[in-house]
Amino acid sequence: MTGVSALEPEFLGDSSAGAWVFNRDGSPMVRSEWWYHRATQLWFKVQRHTGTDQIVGVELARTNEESG
Amino acid sequence: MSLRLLKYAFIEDYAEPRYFNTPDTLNDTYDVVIIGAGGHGLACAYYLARDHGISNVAVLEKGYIGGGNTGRNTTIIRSNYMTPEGVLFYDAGLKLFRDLSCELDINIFYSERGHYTLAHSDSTLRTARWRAEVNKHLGVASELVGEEHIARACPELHTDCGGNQPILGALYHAPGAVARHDAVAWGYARKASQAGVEIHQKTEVVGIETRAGRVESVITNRGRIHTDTVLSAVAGHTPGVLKMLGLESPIEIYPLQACVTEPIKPWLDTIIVSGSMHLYISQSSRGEMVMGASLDPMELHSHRSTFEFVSSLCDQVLDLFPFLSEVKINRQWAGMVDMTPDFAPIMGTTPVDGFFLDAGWGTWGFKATPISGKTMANTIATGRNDELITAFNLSRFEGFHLVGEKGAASVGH
Amino acid sequence: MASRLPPQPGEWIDRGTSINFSFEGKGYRAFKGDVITSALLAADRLSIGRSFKYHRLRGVLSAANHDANLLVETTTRTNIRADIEHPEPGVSYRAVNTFGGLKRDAGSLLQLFSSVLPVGFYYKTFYRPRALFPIWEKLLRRFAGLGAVNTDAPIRRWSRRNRFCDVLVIGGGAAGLAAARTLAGRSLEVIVVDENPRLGGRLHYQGQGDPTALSVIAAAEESFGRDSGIEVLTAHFAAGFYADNSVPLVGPDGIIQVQAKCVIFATGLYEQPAVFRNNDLPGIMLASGVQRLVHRYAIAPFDSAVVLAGNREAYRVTLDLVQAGLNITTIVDMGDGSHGELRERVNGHGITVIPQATVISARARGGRLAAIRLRTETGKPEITCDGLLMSVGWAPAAGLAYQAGATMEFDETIGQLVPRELPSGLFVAGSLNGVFDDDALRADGEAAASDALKCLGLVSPDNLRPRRSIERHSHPYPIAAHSRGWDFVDFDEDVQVGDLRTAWREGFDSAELMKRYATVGMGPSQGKTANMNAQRILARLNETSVQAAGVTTSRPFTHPVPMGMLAGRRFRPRWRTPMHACHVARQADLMEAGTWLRPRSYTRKTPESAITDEYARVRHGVGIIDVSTLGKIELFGADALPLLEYAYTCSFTKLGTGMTRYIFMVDDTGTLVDDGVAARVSDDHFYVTATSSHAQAAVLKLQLYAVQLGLDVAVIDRTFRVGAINLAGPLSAQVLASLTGLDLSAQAFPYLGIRFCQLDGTPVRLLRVGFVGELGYEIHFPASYGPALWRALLNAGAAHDIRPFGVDAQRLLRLEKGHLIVGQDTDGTTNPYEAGLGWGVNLSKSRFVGRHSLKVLKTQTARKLVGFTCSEPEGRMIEECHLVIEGGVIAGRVTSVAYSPYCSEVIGLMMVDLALTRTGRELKVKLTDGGLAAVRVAKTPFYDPDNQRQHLHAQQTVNTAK
Repeated sequence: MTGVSALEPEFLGDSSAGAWVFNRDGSPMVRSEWWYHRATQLWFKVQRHTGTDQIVGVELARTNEESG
Repeated sequence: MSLRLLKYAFIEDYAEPRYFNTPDTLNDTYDVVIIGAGGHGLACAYYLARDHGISNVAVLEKGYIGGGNTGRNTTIIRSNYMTPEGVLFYDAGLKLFRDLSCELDINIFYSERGHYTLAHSDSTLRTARWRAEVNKHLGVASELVGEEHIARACPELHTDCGGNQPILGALYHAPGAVARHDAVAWGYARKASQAGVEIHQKTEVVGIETRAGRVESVITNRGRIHTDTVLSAVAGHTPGVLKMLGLESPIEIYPLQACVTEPIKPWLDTIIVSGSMHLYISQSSRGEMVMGASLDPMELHSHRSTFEFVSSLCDQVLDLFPFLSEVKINRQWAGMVDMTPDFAPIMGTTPVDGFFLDAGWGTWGFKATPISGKTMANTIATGRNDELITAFNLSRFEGFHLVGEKGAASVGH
Repeated sequence: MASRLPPQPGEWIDRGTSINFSFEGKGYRAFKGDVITSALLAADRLSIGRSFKYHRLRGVLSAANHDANLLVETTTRTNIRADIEHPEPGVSYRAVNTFGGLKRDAGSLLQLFSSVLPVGFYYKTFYRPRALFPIWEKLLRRFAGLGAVNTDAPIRRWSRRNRFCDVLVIGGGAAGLAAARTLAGRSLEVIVVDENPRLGGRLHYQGQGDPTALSVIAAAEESFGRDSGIEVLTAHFAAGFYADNSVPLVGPDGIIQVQAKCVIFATGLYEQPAVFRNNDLPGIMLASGVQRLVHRYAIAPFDSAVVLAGNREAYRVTLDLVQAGLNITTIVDMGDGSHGELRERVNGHGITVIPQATVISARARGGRLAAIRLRTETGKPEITCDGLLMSVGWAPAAGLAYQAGATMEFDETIGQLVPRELPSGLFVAGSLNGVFDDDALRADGEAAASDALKCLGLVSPDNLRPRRSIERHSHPYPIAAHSRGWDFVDFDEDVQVGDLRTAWREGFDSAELMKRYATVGMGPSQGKTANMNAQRILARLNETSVQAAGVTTSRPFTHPVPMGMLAGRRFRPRWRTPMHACHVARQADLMEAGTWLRPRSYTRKTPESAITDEYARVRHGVGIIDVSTLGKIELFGADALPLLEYAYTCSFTKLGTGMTRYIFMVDDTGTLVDDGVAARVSDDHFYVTATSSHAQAAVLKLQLYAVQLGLDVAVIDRTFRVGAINLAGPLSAQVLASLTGLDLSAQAFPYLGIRFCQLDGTPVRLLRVGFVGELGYEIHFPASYGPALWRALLNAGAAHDIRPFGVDAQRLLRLEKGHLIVGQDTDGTTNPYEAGLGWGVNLSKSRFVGRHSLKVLKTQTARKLVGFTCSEPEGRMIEECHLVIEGGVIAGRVTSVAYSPYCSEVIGLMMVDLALTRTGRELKVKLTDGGLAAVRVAKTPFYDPDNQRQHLHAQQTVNTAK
């Protein structure tokens, strides 16, 4: 299970809402994705190249315990 | 037996003229440059010449003719969409398909089989009714049918679905058809060639130059071409072309996979689709069972196949057709598709003058081949979006004027 | 004629055990270990198959899985490869794709018309006039396909297993065995896979008169003992190569999906046929095919044979077969025949060598090879023979390596494609690498193993790679095109040289286009014995090198794989609510709702009267419904509130402790995706419900947002651990009061409140909410208490004639109350403003999912969900998704509809264009039969618009049981 959604920003700046929601550079590149590990119910960040499917980085977000 | 074939018998070493020209040199200037010699690009070139007298056209292809999604799809043609925009567009396409063999002088094996979208739940049944009602209102033959009808039309189908989500009914679309995908591309290529269009294979576009918001030239691995009109018809690679112009779009690339069995004697005459089971299946004129499923789950610019795809597809197919368990899968492959948020294409003009898009085809580009070619040719020739495609313009996203195709999509191809 | 030889060293057959089977109606006897082909050859049956297009008689070519000449079928299975399938006792086999049996196949008449069936003929005819195509198509479809599938055949699903290993060695020939021996005893998990039933590969059948070959196999097998770490999987083939070195191994018992740290491709070569007229006659075989027949099954497939030699291997094969007792009269050498000592040894056996010659045609008598015609330096002599062995070259079995990302280059010296570069962790060994001699094969296998060891970070000796062979092993152009055709390049598809030439002249001049137009390599054997020659022909036509002619993409599978193996065992999750057994006991009509099973109603088949009965109990008395399928989510932590504020559209600041409110969620495009109830249990503890179908997604989203925002909150999914029952109806408080001491008065437990208490010993949360329009309580409890509580409620309500109600009655009750159902009354693009839920969006919040989109959408609402009524009789024909038509144009659709007992007319919800939403306006709904029904836009709720019913009995029910 993955989700790539970016956080809803507080302000959009110059961009229109439509452009922010829909438009992107969809060419192959390293993208930051959120992946979910079902067994541990853990979301973590993965840097994946969408052209090669190579994972170039994995980042564990702070767990609730640590952040508390 | 036609006279055409007798020539092969009685004229020694007979061959028909080349289907398509392969000019050695790239000209300095063309009136129109079309990127992508798939069905769409070639169809546009053909209609530009036929309908608008524009034949100083180069079609540039980085691989070979019809080697992209034209040659990778599962050849289903239908017009049972959910939105009026979609229905009218695809139905116009379906009508072109019916005459295409004669028009292009090549038998594309356009074969109307009847297309069943199975419903396994109340909610899919509702969606099926929605599509049927929209279709009927717009004069397209679709109806909601019950289990008995399906059992009659396809007695081999196990409507109890192996005890899992039995079939409650289906959206039946009588005109649903299949065709030989390669032949469509070759037929357009030949007719376009005959009209003077140049097709340059193994020619890759690496840049597009603009001045003051207008297209000025196209840079290829074989040199620069001056032109003020460019069409991108490279579904599966659209973001890369847009990037050359600094344009963004909602298009994301996903692999779409398919597979075929070994040839077996034809037994399945209809086209069977199940959205909730994520599969569609028909039998080709060679006897292969042609099967596909929904998109891969992750954005990826790759033609790689996955085992998960073929195994889960077989798992589902056996629920419907358990007797296929000893039939063997011969080959699997993948295409890359342009996905859009509203499951509708992106066509027509763009913010860059002279740059036109034929993109965002998701999983249903093949069936739009003739109509996209025709409407894009009209759009390019007049500079105004053809009325059949106005709803599909790139600008719709900025304004949140999406096409409501999403509700019915899942799979259907 | 073909016959069985005396016992051969190392033969695979057990002459002590016989198996009787029949083929084409005639009985045959096989030995255990025989394949169908070998058993038929033992009885001198050479013609076993018919070709696809022209229905030509076909016999053995490779005696392996490298061609698809010999496909047979039984009553339940088809496209069985006779070359590798062991006959089963008592089973009747027949050739596939014949019209009237193998012998008198009417399809063979097509050969008479071959001149008018050029390559791609079907593209050139049958389409004018258009109306005739369906008739032609019907005819063409009769000829399509190979075997016939029995649509009554029983299903078979094989189990699938997953395995991990350090090194996977694909191919158990000389190089693969050497690699495995090097890896043995190193505390590694190694799998050696080979598609043949026994290890050894060519070592076994190309003994070349060398008795040590069999001992090499034996020694290797011995070294693969229990502690070696080597696991041998014979009779399994590596079907494809997928990401992360994942390789499915297909065997008789199903698929083992192996993921390996390193992979060694020791897959070897496929011998290639020569092309000449009638090169497909039964009796014309690959030299290695004959060796397989001789050494595996002790079959001599001919009396007297000629060898067509394009390489030195031809001489070795000849010597090998002569030693086995076969009669070879002549070697037709396409080169100068100067093979030194080998030549002398051949001559010593009285075999004539004709140098600088080739076979240009063959002719048959009685369906089998009778003679061949040569072209020599001096003329075109004919030689009588009933066997022709082709030893002219090889093509790499490189499909897996290609799929793994290897690049290949053409080595002009040996005449073969060899690997150039491989991704890390992947290695090639053996003849695929262009090494041929036994010593070199062994050394190459050992070197590949060393590379693998180093790749695994282990110490390993530097085994140097042996040098690639420097002699020619493949003839550069073993193709003698014939003006009269039948010179087959692709046996699967009956593609002849002229077809490729015609295709090329018609513009299909690249490897991929030629493949697609001429269908070369598209058949069941995927071009294993066709692509190499096609590539050579294309190179010659294009006047370019073989390398430049290019190859077509390799795709899974190596050999076709049964769907039942790919599918594996069936596994479908099915979720049951805690009270499932109660529903079954009550004979509920269970429906599938996603993965859940839910009661539609509590009568079989759910007649409308059952729904209205259940409905009536809720309206006038009391009922209970199992709502355990709701998503149930617990949020704990200081940041629980900020998380809700971000995830949902409404503001939570006014939600006091002990109270609940209706909430909904949109995605970043502003589309409504979920709704539910949020309860504030305490300052830092909330309890949230979600719709059944969106429950999982809601949990994931909440957890993701918490991580993305770095919030101090735990999001716990309680969906499966907490059951829920909705107790509804004017008498619901009475029922509840009999089970709890809780003060149920309106003051103590107001509408939208949440309370904790015990019901008959069950710890519960009571939420005073309800969407059916009556006083009601949603009761949430630990799942294991479900059945007891369900019974307790039914018992407590017995005096009030309490009745369970199902989804259908609930929908009717909800509809009367005007509550929308997300996913039914909304679609994939509906936003809250269209759904009439704008009141629940608080755009003044600084940040929440969908805010930017909703700001835009609020200003451009174009359609709206409204209620409607219809008192005309045709209203009963309105169904969900019928369209609203205005001025001939689609102006909306009905999303929910039902006959309302309360209103005594049909009511519903519809999503219609904004301009049409004025209450009282008449609209037309188009029915299935095309007729129109007049409906009127109506205010919702249809029932109890002022929400009186929620308060009706609160006063008088104050705890009668206390």
